[in-house]
Amino acid sequence: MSILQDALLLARKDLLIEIRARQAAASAMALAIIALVLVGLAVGPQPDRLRALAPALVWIALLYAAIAVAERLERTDRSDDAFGGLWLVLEDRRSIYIGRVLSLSIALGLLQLAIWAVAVLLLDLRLKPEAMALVPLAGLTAVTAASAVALVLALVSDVGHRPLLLPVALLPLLVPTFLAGVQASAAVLDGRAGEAPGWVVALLIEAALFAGLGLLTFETAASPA
Amino acid sequence: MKLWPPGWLAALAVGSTVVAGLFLVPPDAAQGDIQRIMYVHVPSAWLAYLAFFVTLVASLLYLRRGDLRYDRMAVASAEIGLILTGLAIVSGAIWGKATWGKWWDWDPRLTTTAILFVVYAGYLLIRQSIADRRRRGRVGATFGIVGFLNVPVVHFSVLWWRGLHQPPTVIRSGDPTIDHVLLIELLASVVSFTILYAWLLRRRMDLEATRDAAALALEPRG
Repeated sequence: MSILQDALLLARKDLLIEIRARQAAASAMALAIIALVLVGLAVGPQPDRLRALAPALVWIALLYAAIAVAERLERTDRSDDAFGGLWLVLEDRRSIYIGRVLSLSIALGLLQLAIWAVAVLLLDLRLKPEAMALVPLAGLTAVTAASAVALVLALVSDVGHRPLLLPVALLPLLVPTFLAGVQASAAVLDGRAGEAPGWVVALLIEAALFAGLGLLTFETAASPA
Repeated sequence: MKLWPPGWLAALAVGSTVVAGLFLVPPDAAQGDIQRIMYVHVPSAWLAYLAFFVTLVASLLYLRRGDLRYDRMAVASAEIGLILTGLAIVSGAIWGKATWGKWWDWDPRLTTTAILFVVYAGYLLIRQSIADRRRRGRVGATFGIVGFLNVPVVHFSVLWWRGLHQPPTVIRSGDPTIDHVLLIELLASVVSFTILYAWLLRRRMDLEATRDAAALALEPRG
């Protein structure tokens, strides 16, 4: 089988587990809603301020949701030494990385849209037709974030205190993605669509860098001791 | 290894730069004496970039050749880079309090520098959490490469976004926007810090080699 076929199978496996167990998405959404509600409470009934904060809030919620989803997927892979089996069976082990990027991209893209839907309701966002651009933007940001998350997961896969170290290692690396994602979303929401392409290019460059580094270093980083 | 500077040279270089910076060079016409902190702040920031670049190169070499000497160099340089980044943040905060009236501002340069600090603190934390020596080296090397992605973001942040931090005054297109005497002292302090960095790097690599040897000696045989 080709590397892509293997990757598609592995991504399908991740998504099937999630669809059937519904653990990662449920906890990630709960986390996101709690974050939005808590910030809403802290800021108080000031709709304009909340609307201005919305892109950053959605992204903070998404980052924590990404950690929850990634941690769950990795825990499933590492239980019963399933990862060790995959490692021995696969012809090209980079397919594990590509498969993880695919499944995480789909999960994070859908999660981001769901978080935006919750934000529209809770933060009383008034969407214009141009806000439809948030859909492809969610796809692009999901791929960028997934490329980084899958690589960092490989790095911290078998370290002690993984649940603690995953955010420590991941969040600072995702700052450029966070920044570009927030600015592009804010530009779309505020009707400043002309400013979005610059940030989209930044996201594309980040996605290429993370994916390139992931493909180059995954086998070395994830190799069991 | 004759190339590594001895400790006395590092002490002499830093000592003479401090004396010159504090007592010989005139104060800045606009900022007064507080500007002297630049002779610590700027070299710290530049040397931190250099240290993280050395970590990047050593990490690439370790992944390619598997020689533990490169891994020792990568971690030693990252540790020194982390200390220098901390020094740049603290010296910047002291200067900021005197000039801007506050210790901290959510300026792009300050914020991205703080993030850089967290990235390399994470690098060291992850390394500490891995017991297997070879795996620690591999994971550290990968993280050392990925982490460097933030260095250009820090450097160019003053050009990409508007903030309180001034744009480049030395490394820029056109002549430096700094008085020549002050520039000479600034460059001298960069050279002094570089000598200190090289000395510290060598000492820290030796320590790491001793640790590896001790770990190997304590390993159960058979």
